[in-house]
Amino acid sequence: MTRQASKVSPQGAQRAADMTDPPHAEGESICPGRAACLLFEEARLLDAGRYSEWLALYAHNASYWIPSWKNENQPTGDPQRELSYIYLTRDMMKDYTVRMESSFAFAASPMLRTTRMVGNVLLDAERPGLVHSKWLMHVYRRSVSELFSGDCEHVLVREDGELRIASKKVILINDRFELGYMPLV
Amino acid sequence: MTRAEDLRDAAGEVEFVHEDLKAGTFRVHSGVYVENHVFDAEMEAFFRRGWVYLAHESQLPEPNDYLTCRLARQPILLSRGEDGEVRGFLNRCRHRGALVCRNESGNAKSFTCFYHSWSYRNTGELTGVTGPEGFPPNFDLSGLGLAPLPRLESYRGFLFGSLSADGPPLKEHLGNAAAYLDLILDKSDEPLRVVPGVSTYEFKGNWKLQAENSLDYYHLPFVHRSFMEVRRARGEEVKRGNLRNLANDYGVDLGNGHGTVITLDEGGEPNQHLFLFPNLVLLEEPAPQIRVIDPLAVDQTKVRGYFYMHGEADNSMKLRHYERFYGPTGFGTPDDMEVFHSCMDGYSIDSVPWNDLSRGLHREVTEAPLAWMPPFVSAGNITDDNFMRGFYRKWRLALSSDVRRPEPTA
Repeated sequence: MTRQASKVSPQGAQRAADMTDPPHAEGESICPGRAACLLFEEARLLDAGRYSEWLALYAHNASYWIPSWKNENQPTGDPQRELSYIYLTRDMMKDYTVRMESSFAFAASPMLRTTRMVGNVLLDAERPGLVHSKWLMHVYRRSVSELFSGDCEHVLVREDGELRIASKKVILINDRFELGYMPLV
Repeated sequence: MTRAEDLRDAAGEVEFVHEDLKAGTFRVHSGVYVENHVFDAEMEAFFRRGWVYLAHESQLPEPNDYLTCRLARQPILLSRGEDGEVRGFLNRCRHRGALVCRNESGNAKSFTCFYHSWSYRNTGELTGVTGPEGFPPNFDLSGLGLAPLPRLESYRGFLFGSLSADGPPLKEHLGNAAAYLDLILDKSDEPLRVVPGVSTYEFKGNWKLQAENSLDYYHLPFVHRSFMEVRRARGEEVKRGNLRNLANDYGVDLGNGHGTVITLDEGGEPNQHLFLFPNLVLLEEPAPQIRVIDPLAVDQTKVRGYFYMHGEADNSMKLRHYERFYGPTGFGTPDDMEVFHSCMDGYSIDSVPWNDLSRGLHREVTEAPLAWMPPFVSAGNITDDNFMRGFYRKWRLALSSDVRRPEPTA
């Protein structure tokens, strides 16, 4: 049984192959390959517009957070006292799926073409379950290509025997929205 | 440009705002959203000569705090001196014109231009020129302090600026709207403050689309249907999910381009969307927002949204409501943006150029429908176009000498 959280480990096939996937409580170590696959799966489901399946990747107490910026270099830090671009609890994430599946989300209908890329996936050296990654999201609408990008932190837990996302924090480096809209990353 | 549908006044010039009370019509020509010379005239008349909202004093609370912003696309520096007074400057080094302050905000007693290191006190005086011996002995540095913003005034913490030294004082510009702003500010004994963070977005459309839409309740059940579906799915009562239930809410023309819409909550407490001409909207519902409209070009607009609160109370639920609706990641605003883009597409059809703003023209009242209402010009149902008609009457009056020309003059 290998604990992978003792240092930052690049996700990679041969490392993943070495590892068993032990049952563990919240915050225990996880397999880097499995963590990366979960992130890729999330991107795939969002690109495909499979919102209910996307939501199912999240734990029952999950949160989803995109902070705003206080100034050039400092994201807002406390979602209870400062403004975020979005801070969703699990039930508000459900709202998002209701909106997107309603066919009345006019900004996203009739056309929302997106490509989400996830890379540089690393397990945190100190905190078990914390996964760092970089993301790029290409959004194409109204003949305009917009490229959003930034960092991401997922905290992964095991729930009902499955690896789930307990929280997701998205740092958005280019908060200029030419068409006034960005789908969730 | 001439078109078959153009209406002309006695002098043969194109009319952009056409009112025909006998026919029950009030129409606006869509040239106002797409023609460059109209935009240039608006920038001159409203954004250079008039009062424009810049920032709230709580965004620079301490001595030596500063922030930078734009007025008519020009970089402006607002700085609070040691004496507590907020001053406005044109953010341009008097030497070669670089920005004297390149940061969004911070705290500084002085500003040093990074080009040749000329430095200025935060009250504007030029305090140092590098290599002073290189300038002629009779070269006068004393007149080269930061150029002050010609006018800067605060109304209860809301800072307005003007690039023109002349014109009516702020209080006169605000007119009836000041008392409606008071209604919002007087709801709490605690002073209003803006919390850290901004939700900013742009759209490829004319700034007036955002101004009109901010006080438009007619579109609410339709454009924001997905938001209503979300609330219904949650089991919430969606009172304003159809037009029938908006019968006891009001839209108000406050004159001088200002306006408000008033909804009453279960306890009869009024909540407003208050528009202060030309670029500020204060929204109380569905969450508190200070919305600032920055026109960038005839077909490009930037909007900045801020969350405001009174005192230090727990506002986390209101923050969630703000984020859930407003801004580029919310469940409401992106659909408004889609409307603006769609309208701009439609305006390229110039054979049917007229927009209709006649809704409620027959039921405008001048007597207050709510006893406590401060003075106003006309009121109607919240889904009526009272505010927009007031906006375009002011617009027509202010631009009458500027926008009837087919070509702008230099």
